[in-house]
Amino acid sequence: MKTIYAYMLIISCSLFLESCKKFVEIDPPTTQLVTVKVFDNNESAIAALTGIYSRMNNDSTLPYTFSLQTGLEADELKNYSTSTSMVQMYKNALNAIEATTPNYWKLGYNYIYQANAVWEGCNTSTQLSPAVKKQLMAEALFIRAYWTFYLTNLFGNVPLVTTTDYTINSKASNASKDQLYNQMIADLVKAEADLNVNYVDGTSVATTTDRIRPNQYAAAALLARVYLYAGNYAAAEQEATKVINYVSLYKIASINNVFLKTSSEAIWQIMMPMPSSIGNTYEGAYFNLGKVPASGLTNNATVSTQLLNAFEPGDLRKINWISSFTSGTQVYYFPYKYKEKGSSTITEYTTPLRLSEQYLIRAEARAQQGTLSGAIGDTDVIRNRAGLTLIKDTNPNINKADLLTVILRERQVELFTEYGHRWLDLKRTGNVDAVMMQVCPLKGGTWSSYKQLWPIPQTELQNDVNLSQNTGYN
Amino acid sequence: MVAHPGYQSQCCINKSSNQPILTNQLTTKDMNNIFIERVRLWLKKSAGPTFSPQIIKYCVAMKLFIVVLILSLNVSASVYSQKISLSYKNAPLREVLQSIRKQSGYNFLFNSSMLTIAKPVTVTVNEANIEETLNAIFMDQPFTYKLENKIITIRKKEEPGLFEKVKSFLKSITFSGKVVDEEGAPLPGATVKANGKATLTNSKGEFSLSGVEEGTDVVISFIGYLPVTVKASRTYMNIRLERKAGDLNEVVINKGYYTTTKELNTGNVSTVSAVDLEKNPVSDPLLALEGRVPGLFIQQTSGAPGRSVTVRLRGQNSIANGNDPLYIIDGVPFNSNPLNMTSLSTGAGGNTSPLNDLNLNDIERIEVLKDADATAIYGSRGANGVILITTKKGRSGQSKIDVNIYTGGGKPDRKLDLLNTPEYLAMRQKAFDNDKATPASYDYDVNGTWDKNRYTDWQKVLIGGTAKVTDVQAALSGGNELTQFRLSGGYRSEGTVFAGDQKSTKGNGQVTITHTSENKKFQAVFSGGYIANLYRLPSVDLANNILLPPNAPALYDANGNLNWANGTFVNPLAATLQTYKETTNNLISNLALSYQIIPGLQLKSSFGYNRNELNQLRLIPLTSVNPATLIYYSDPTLGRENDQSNSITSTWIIEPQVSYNKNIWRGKLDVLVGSTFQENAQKGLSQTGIGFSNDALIENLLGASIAVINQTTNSQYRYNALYSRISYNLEDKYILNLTGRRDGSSRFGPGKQFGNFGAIGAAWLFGKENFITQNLPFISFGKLRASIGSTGNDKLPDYQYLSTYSSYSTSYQGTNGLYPTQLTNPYYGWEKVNKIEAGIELGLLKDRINLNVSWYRNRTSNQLVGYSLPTVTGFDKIQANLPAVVQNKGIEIDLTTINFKNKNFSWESSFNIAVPRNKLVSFPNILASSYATKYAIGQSLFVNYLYQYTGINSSTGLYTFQDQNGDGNITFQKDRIPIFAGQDFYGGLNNTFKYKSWQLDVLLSFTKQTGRNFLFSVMPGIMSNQPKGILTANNLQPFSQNYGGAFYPTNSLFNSSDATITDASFIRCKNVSLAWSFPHKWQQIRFIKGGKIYMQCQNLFTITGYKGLDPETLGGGFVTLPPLRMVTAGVQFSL
Repeated sequence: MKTIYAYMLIISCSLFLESCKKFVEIDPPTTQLVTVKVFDNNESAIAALTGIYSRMNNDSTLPYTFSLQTGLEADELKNYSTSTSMVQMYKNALNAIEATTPNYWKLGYNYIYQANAVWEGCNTSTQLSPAVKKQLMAEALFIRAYWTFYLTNLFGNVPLVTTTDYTINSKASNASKDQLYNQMIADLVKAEADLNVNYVDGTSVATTTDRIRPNQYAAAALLARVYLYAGNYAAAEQEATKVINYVSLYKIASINNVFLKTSSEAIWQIMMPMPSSIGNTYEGAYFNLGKVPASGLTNNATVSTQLLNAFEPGDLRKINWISSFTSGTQVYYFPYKYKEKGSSTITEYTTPLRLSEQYLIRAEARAQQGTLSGAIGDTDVIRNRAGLTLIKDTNPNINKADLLTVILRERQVELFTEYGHRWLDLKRTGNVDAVMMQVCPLKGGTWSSYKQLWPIPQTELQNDVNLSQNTGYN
Repeated sequence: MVAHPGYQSQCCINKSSNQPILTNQLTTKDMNNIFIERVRLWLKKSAGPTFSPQIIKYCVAMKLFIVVLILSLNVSASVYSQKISLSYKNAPLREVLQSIRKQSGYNFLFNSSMLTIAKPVTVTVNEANIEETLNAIFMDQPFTYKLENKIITIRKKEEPGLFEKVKSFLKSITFSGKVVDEEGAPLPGATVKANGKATLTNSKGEFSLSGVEEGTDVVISFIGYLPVTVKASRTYMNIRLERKAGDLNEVVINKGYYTTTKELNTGNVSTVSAVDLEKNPVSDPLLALEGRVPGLFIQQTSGAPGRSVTVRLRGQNSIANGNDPLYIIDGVPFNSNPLNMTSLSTGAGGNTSPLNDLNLNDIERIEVLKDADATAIYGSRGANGVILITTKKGRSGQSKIDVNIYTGGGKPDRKLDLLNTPEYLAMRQKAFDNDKATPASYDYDVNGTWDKNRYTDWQKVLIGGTAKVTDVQAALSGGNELTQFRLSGGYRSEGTVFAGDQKSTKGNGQVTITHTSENKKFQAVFSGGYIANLYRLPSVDLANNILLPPNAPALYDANGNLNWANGTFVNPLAATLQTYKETTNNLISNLALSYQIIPGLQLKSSFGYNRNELNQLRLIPLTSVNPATLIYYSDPTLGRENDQSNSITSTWIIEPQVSYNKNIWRGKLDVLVGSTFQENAQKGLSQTGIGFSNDALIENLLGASIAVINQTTNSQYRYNALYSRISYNLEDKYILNLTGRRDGSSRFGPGKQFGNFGAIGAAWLFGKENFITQNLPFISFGKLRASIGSTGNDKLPDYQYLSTYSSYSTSYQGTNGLYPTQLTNPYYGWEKVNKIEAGIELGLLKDRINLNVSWYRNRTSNQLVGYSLPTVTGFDKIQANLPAVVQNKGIEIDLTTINFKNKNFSWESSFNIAVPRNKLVSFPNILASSYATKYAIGQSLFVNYLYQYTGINSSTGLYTFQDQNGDGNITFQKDRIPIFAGQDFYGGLNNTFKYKSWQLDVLLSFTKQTGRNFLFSVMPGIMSNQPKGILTANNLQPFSQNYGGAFYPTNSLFNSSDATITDASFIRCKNVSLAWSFPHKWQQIRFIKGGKIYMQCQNLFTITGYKGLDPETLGGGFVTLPPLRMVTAGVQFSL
């Protein structure tokens, strides 16, 4: 009898412990989705990818802030803001202790993480339809390359991140320029091969007119840029040509249609996630001054004298892409590429990749390879739309060096306040010291060559002992 | 086992005997000898020598058996409860006596035949001592009793002769009166005793003792009070009893799942009672604890009403997670984390303190459990200590209404001495001169945009108001012996010192009912409270703006609208036009049921529920929006905004438990086994609407043209445990207490949920040993105690082991995007805290001096941290166990003295001090971790890695720093060294002076610490005001306004150098309370039972050398509203 009681006791105790175990095992929160479930079906897998585009637009109003701050840092814009982050950027006075606001390093690597997560999630999933899976994985590579490109060109030899495994990434060390560019190229080559030829809609398969998801040509366009920066001019020419030659989709638009959502020269755009109080684009909302420039984080900058002076007389871009506000005798010029300030009717999308850049990439690549006539022809396509005289008419025998200078200035007046082109161009062409020595004192700062790279945020160095700071920063 | 009367009669004892003489120290052997002697006496007297020695022997043997039983019970009786509760109606005396024996352990010696003349007993006593009980029982019996050494001998009353009877009848009178306490409240159940006659006071405190001789001594006594002797008279007498000082044996300590007395407690528990709590005119009970509990560090983070409070008990155990203690309100765990949704920014002063959802006036006492012995039974939840809050309960007796009303006002007690306009402009000019620069387009203060002749004292304008406070509390309590109740309600309104008119209000209601069944076996205690808080605050802390240039534009334009100066000025008053409202609703209820199955075995279960809700609302009307920012909206109505959130946390808890106590050998064993089932659920929703057609409609989200959901949260936490306590108390001198627990928490991943914890505590009451009582009689109490044990810590966010995606609030291509929530690591487990403590408690000179000294050492290992990662990984942290060990070690001293005491005047002091030392004991491979330049092995966690300032280079005028690694550069990674910034010691000193009806309490709190100095946080010269000190300081580099100039980088290094760590010690007069109690004769007035008029003052003055707004909130370069100096006056009375 006693043993029976003992057994009963043991059984009831173990039942109790078992029920305790069940008691503390809880269901996942209903407000979140367990990662493995995300890649169980097309819809949520697509949402995991397009969420990245949402953030690339909405995080810190990035299309505006990034263009503004790189513009302030270079010679494109004049600052009126008292905000420390703006003043430091304007005076080329970044330091490692205070990370930039917004923290581009952190944002960039977060997008890369998300892209890697989508790639890995799709890669292991067996439940996605093959077309969707292929498209999503290719877009993920595109995003990874896009942000690796910017991080490299802002911060220099940044770590290369191709996995979500934090145990590896947390020990990452600075990668060489070659490693970084080789990875970008590999990613984009793969993306170009796998992406849909057409622009896809929310299903990731069906075609749509909106160009807000990268297609094959978006990958080619970005690849052209990467090759140009890497100095592989032949390949840059080849990729740009692919895009330029696809005339059924891409044509130079008339001057006031370039930044429309229906623009024929848009290669890749990002839509404003809905709903939004801004409506169209942050550039349109925050660059356009309706008053004197303010001291805060928006509507705080005007076009610099250097940029205004860079335009040739009669340049349609100066007339149409720059506007002004007059207060008394003071005239404030501001970027006016995006014209809509908060209309709820959506007509414009922010445009990271467009055809004109491809012409200028090919022009430069051809000039570098010595094919000056081709280079002149490409440059003239842009000058023609701007209502300017053509080089083939005015200076057909221009030499290579002069032509490269012309192309650089053409990039300055064509691509101003578009995702930092001017700042990156100054650096990659080696003109940065010459230009900034002149400009920086005018902005109230002191130039040193090391300032062309941003400091890696101090906390990163604290948390990753393998990482080295860029020269010149403490 | 009873000393059975049957055996006694068999032993032929039929006559009451003389009392044996008992010595003070009895052993069993002694007792037997005495008994044998006594039996011989009996035999001699009653039966003569006819009894053979065999019979005697036999009788003695029998008796011995009984006596041994009696004695074994006698010895253990000392650990029985000192309180006896009885309720009988016409019961046989024998039954009543048996019950007393069971409860008290006292034994009775009597002749069983006597019981035939015993009268039926009708008696009701509640928690009475043995004498009171016996007096009540034997009052009408034809017996008297004598109590000696735990044996009660009962004898027949001697029949007085006729003459005596007549004589006493002639002299006898009926003496009646009323017994009250110091506050004039009646004391029911007090014993009134004269010449063998005794009675108890009734529920009104009244008594009537008939048949006593006039002028005879009448002694009135009551537990916890000093007895009073008066002469019996024919007039009605009011008798006031005074409380006994520091009666350790009477002070019950709540240790959560069980109670003990202060005397017998093996752990470290500090108690703050309502008497002290009520001296503080504050709303948040935590603020009333500051300076009163050794080792409890309380830091008010803002002077705005209801803002969160930092609480650290014995330092920081965990590097990253959960250093808050566990709060238990009447048995229900209370969430102390602010409910604010992260997507909605808070109003002035930061997050709400959930503890402000309790009502100070309803709290009976707060117990702070510190060491392993006291906290181990709470297991993982108690790793950082436990704060037990017990609400007031009703008392039996006449129904009573207590009312307390006070009103007053508050202002910041300190002000920064800032530059005036000419000084400020001179500083700016000098900065431009030093930079060889001219003012730029955005230098509005000096480029002529703003009037250079203006001057505004921004501190006065923005935080110079008076925060008016009014507090009204009322409670009705009463009940009979079986059922007691207390109903209370209150209202409080508290303003702010900010510009504008914001008022926070608090309403509260509380019910408690205690019921005991007639047979005393079943007890039910219910308490339920509901508190609603409404906070109205500016949407940002206006103190942030006190460094505005003194010549910044006027706040209002000519039309009375906010002045934006063409977009050049961010008007700080915009925040006052933006409604920021928080409402909290807190329901907390608990039902505890207990049933005594058999004597000693008790079944208990507690059921608790708590629901705490926070609604935040921020409205941005168009009038508060800088027009410069409106222009990018196509429609200005988009500038109107409504942000709101709703967040609810609810907790239920069920705790069944069985307890058993039994006398074993010479001691008493207590065993407790219980289990906890707890669930917390948290839900939240935060949304934003914009585009309202006018300011009046803005409160209704329905009017928004665009509405977005910003954040939703939904989490669940489950916790389950099995706990046990075994305690053995040997002769009230040696006590051993074992507690153990197995905990399961849903915050850990599969397979990692359970952990085992336990503790051993022991105490030796050496003050009771002979060698002390005989040789050192001035030691009235002495105890050594020690404990060792471990607890766990699971205070980390929910679901950290789960890899999830969350939904984005906006859509892309018509689909709401998803994003990964966090990096995940499913392998982390319990954080473990090992605690050791030793303490000595001394009472000297009849407890006029009480000294407690504790030494403790807590070591936390397997640290659960949000391990900092480089953001290269995509996120900045991951949940993980760190192999680091953190040690908190310290000494706490608590000294209470009665310095002077006579009839009219008394002076009592209590002093406490805590000397904490925090150390990172080990951290394998720290240099390869992300903590390499955050913490240092062997040093406190309260270090900052800072550059070492070495003065100004006389040629460049720049700050210089020590090049630690000598590489010629000052680098972030190689040249910073750990510098301590934290508390060296802290504590409080309270003095209480009483003169007749007056009482003055003065509480000083003090902290010796270093902290970040505010002085150099913004580079002097930049568009921001500065303290006047910069004009005379000779250790500053030249003023500069250029972020890109030569001065800025060194200024940045300077801000990260040890030069910014200065002494921030302070002595703050935390509380002064002056009260005048109503004279006793007022109690003749029909309604008033007692009361007082008082003045109270919080933060009266601060003595500090700290350069900054406030040494308590510190705040570094960020200026926040300091705690206010609050002065109130009030009245408290009972009806």
